Amino acid sequence: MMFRIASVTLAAVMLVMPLSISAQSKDPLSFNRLMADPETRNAPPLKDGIHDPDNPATDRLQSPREAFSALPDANAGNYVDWVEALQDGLINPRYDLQDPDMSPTVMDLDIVREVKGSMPDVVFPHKEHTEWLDCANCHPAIFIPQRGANPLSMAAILMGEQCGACHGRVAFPVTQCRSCHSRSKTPADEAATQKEAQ
Amino acid sequence: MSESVIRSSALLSSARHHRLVPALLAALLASGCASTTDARQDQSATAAPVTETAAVTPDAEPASQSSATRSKGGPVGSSSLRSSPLESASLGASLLAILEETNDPVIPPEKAGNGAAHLAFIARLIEESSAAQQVSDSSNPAAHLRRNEARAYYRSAVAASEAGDAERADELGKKATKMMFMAVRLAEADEVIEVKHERDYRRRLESVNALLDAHERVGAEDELGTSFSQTREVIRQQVARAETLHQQDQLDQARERLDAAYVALKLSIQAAREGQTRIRSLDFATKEEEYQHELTRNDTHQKLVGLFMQDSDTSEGMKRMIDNFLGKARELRQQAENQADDGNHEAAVDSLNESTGQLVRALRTVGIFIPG
Repeated sequence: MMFRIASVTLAAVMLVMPLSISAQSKDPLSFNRLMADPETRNAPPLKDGIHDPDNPATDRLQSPREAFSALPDANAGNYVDWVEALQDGLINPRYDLQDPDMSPTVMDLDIVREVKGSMPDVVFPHKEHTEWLDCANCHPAIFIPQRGANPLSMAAILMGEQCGACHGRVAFPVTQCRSCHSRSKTPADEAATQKEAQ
Repeated sequence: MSESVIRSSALLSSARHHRLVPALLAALLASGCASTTDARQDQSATAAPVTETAAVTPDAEPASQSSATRSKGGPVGSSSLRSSPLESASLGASLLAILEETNDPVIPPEKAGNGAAHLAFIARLIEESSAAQQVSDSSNPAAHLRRNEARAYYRSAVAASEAGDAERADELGKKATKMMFMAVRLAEADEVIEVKHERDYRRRLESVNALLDAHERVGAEDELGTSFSQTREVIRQQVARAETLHQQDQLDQARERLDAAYVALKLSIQAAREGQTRIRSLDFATKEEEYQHELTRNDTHQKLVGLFMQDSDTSEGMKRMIDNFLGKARELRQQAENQADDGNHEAAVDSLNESTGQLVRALRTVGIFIPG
């Protein structure tokens, strides 16, 4: 009897203890450094460390949280999925400075870049980029439009070159690995890649 | 009155601002422009911004004071301005008086009252900023006129501030700022604009040439036939005509033609490649080439560790673990470099792979998930 009571008590303690620990600990996502505290995201102009809090006009600016509230969420940057927002028609940016009726020339062409190691291969989608950009924005100043002419390096990208010319500045940051490394390596892919190389 | 009329009729390429007044006045009178609210309200909608905003309105006209206070940034104007409203018949004399009075530079307000900091900023904008310098250097009398209007608004703002009307002072301060920015836009020298247009043309030409080369490769890779190549030849001719126009200093027409060629080129490439997926595989001609690639990859992972280690929340225990992985990575990298120096690039590649593997473990310890 005593043994049963002790067992039940011990079981109860073991059950409650992890719950209490998790309740006491910080946000379970705190281990992942890429997940910033939601409270710090898109801070209002008076607290964002960018605008002058002593300027009387600063508090007249609309808060990003309010402005972005109706837009799709993302996990990094300013936490808005701007591509989805555009595709859903939630925003309608003007494409040309002179001609309000001009629309982009969208090209649906995917470039798959094989990578070494365990990371999935990179897929560069022209479609999502040409919805925002013109060919001349990247070609040839950033990327030469020629196979084999653009050896890519994550180090260079992190330093603001190549893809880093935009990503991390005006587009989602390179901490979103899966956004680009999105094509898993499969035996079929590897076979197809070898055939392409031949 | 349009900007071009002011610029061409005044013919004042090098006059200082006080010498602009008689010629500017003549130009304004000749073109029938008025700088009173009444006169401007009669202007058509096609009038340039110069005429659309009131430089001096009965409400905004500077309060009267003796001329001795003019240079201190205080209110200026004569009692006659307030007592007799500006009428078209006395436009010339009134405008001349205003221009003469507002020619003097403004200074920040002497009293540190409410809004004084903002007014001081406006004073600096009008007199000391790079924009002010640009206006001073400009040969466009309209730019100088706008700056004088800004000065007049500023003096009125200071008077309102000293009278305790903060809201009015703020409103007039904003008008002063707006006038100054209009002055800056008018002050942009033709040389600056032309240099920009030329640079833009060169960049567009570079893009067109790069895409023409890509068009040729696409045609060859996909075996698209003669019509595709004929399209390219037509575009090349367009580009050649654009270059001819450019050499004849007809930049606008050249750019127009070049843009048309550019659009045609984009559409042609889009049609050829739409819906495709192109795979760029990692092929190395030699082990040495692969070794160079692995070196870059190793560098990248090292930089990533450094980047994510900047977080001060990393505990001491975690730092020791990471240092352990980094130490092993360094040793393996050194081993790889030694092997490469001995010509054994195959072994060097393997060593570098292991080194990068240690860096991946360090990154996972930092909290960055890398699959594997």
